[in-house]
Amino acid sequence: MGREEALKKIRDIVNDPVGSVKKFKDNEKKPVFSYFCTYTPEEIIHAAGGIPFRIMGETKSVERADSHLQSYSCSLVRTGLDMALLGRLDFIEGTVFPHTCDSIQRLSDIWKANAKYPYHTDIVLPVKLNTKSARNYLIEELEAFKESLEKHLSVKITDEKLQESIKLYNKMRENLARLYKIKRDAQKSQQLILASDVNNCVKAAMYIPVEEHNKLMDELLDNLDEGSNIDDNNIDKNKSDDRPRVIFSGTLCVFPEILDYVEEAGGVVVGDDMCTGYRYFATKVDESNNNPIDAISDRIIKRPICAAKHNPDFDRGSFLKGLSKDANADGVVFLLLKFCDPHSFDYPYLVESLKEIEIPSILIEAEMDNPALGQVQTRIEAFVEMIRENK
Amino acid sequence: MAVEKKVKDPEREKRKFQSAKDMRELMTAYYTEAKVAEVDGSKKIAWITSGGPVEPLHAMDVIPIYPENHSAMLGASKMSVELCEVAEEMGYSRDLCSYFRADIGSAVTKKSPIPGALPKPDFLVASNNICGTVTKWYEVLSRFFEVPLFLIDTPFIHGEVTKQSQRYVEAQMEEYIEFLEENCNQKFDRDRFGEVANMAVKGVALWEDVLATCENKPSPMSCFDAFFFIGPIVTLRGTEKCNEFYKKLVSELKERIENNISAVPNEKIRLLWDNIPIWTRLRDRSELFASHNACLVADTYTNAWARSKINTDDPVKGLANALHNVYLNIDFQQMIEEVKVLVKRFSADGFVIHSNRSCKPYSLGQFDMAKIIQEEMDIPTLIIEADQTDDRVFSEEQTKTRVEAFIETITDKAS
Repeated sequence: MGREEALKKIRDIVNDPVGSVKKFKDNEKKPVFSYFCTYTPEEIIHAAGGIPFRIMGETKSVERADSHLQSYSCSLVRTGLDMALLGRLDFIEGTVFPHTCDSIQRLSDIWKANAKYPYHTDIVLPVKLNTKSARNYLIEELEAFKESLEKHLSVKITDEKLQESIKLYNKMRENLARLYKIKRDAQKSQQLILASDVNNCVKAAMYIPVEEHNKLMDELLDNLDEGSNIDDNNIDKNKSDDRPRVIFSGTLCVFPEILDYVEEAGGVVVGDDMCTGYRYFATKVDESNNNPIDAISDRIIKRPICAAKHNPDFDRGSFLKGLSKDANADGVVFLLLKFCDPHSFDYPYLVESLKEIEIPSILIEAEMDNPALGQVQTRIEAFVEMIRENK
Repeated sequence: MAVEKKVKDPEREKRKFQSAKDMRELMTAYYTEAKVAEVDGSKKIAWITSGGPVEPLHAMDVIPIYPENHSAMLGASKMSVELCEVAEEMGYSRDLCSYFRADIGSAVTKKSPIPGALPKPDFLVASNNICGTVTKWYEVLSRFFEVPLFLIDTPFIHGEVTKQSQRYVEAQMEEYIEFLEENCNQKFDRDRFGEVANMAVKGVALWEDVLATCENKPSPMSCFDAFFFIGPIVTLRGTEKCNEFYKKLVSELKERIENNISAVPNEKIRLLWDNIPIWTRLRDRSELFASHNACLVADTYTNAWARSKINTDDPVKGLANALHNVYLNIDFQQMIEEVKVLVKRFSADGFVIHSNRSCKPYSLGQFDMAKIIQEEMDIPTLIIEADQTDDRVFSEEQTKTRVEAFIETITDKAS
């Protein structure tokens, strides 16, 4: 297939997630279960014979959702509901809501009353992740979800099936982690892969069956390495590489072009703390744990947290500082969806944390139905210029 | 000093509440005690969310402080916008809850109607049964004051309470008790707590009685009065003082009914209010509706404190379940059912919905709710876009026009 073909396939998937997953659904005759939040246990859906599909809204004006949701709801919630109301998701079997935040919580109510798919469930995951009682509850909640899927699809989700699914998802996570590492450590002369393509690889994993993603990624990674003298573990960082190194932090990146603005301005994107990025694949499920639900719960507890979770043992400021140091970053772009409360609450603290290690940042607030990308590009160019001078 | 004597309007005078003075004294004494404790350390101070478990604090002799209540005060005293701007300068988005913004603005600047602002907390107690916002808000407070935070995580109730979520909340009550013991350096007295819980149950019942008097036609009190009188049931729930106050208020309301003193002089239209009040515009709103002979006789906000009672057979578990089942922690189908009951109980002719930018869990879903209530209860509904305390998003002219059109619809429908 080759590198270019793999990348093109991945781009096509991200440009048309609905069309892509529909093809797989028709070919494989499997039900599609949509979700909004990456805390959704995809392995359980997969083991039940379903295809998990993440709804990330659409980058267009809202047509019908405005009569159900106020303008101060985030554009993910508004454009996501719009997709359902416009019949764009009529092929799905149902939706899984793992609580997430106040807006998604109420979206679940509105969704249930108006979208009417055969299946609707709420996995009310704990917000608190640092206690034994929360862990017990999390396990029970996942068990309940498993039973609910079993009942709906009249299937039995055995431990063996779950363990197979876990392996496939872990492989996907390993692939993406490897791609991130290559991107992070690549030298200027290597010009390996654009930031937007890296982001597409992550998002494609949320749209198509994991087996397909693993095939595409294997193809890409095999050919990405070719002829570029990359030794994953032995890179002389930044020797003769003067590009400003940028990390992204925030919610979800629906406009991959924003990442490319950094690189077009002469910078390089070397990592992120985003839910369409590192947070999604950073932690693997422990395959040696004989109890798969317990193992999946463990991953949920240990993965880098979303701002909507509460874990006093995980400091998002320290985490971002660590990411920045590891990637030798010169600046951080905060990319938030407007009206995202949890992330907006963390933002000033994260800026302060970065100041401790003298890393400058900017804040970009985007709305999916009104992104004002021209202005975003100008601001990013100025930011890259500024951190270049600081270097 | 020359005392200016105003001629008092007797109509207005007779509508004034005797209890208003008692209430002010009660709340002043409460804040004074807290300010003293801040200085002399005689008692521990905990900041707690409005849906949080206050009863164990009273049982431990800890003074509970409610930033939400304080932010409402900041709104009513027109200080909130300035303090929200302080928060915005700190980097907090203007789209975040204005209670939070005003609170952190006040904590930083010490500006408040209370001299020196709220007394500093020794620890923090938050429950996300009202929103996810308080989780983040209290994380900010915990970093700002460098004090420990205990979060009670109450899984949202879609449909029925699940066994596992009930067990989880109950387990957290025991963890909460441990947290209190550790932070207060004393053993938790379960008997004392039982007494406080009993007292709280009585308080909630009294508050229910207060609100129930508004079933009378004409209503002796409007929800604007209830917004004022809610203070003690939130902050002093579980104390003798709280219950004494409401006993007197209930008698006063009953007297008003006997003497035919109504909240609105010529009550023709009875309305139900949804969401947190617009604290910055309480009087304006009250007068605007009254000028159309309309009385807001009930609301979902003050009723929220009359619906969750602790089962005192096992008060620790009882408290867990009461916390878990609060109004904002149930799905909107269940909320709609509760609104329907209020419409019937209080004979409401219309439903006024405050779409509150600051409060997503209270506001998202209101458009669907309005449609369903309008269709199934056959009453007009009005949606007002505003904010609980950020006055910058309020449009006086637009609101006035829409309220007038709404009143007209109700009047036409009646004739």
